Amino acid sequence: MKPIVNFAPWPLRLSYGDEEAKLFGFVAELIEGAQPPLAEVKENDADLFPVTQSIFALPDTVERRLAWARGLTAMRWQITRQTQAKVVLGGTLVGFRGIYPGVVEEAWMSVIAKQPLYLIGAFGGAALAVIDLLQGRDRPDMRTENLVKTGSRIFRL
Amino acid sequence: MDLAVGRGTTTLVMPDQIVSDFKDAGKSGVANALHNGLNDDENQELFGSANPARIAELVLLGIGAL
Repeated sequence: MKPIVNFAPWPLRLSYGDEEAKLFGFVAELIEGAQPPLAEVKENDADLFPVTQSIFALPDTVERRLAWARGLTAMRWQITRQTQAKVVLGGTLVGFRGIYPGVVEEAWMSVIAKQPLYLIGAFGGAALAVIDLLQGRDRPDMRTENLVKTGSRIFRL
Repeated sequence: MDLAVGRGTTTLVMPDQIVSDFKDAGKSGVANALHNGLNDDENQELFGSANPARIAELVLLGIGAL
């Protein structure tokens, strides 16, 4: 097993070519993130994310933003299943591509899966938000209505 | 892992549910919620520490207790 395992989410990994593959070398292993359920995305990747366009420029429709968000969630479940513990430090709470801040979502998966989780809150961000919630402190910025307004790009038209 | 799970088939959970799940998990103490081998006091120290050596020590202490 290589010392670094990198999970690349769908659809981001669709943009990977030889140049990206070379970066992994002998040090890192690439694990392809799962495609979301077909009920949520088109079966043929190219129908949703044409190869002639940049993946990063494409979350420009509701359909594509949902696909990005669900692809990230699918990858995070893979990570949770294929790791034995998580250490959480920092993590952004604004401008993320999923439905939730990614680090918050990964910590939540660990908690409900009863996977060992180590939270370092001194650097703020998502780790501190999770600590606050576990200890019963209110975090209005984590509520759905506020993430819609300020946090996730998925909700923006 | 079955094919459905491999393709990421999971219920769409909204952020309010995640907030609720964290709060519910924490009601019985952070040690019970985190399953990390640390007790409540050790987890509290980890929550607030900015000392890399102490953070590493606490994480290893927890892993060693699993």
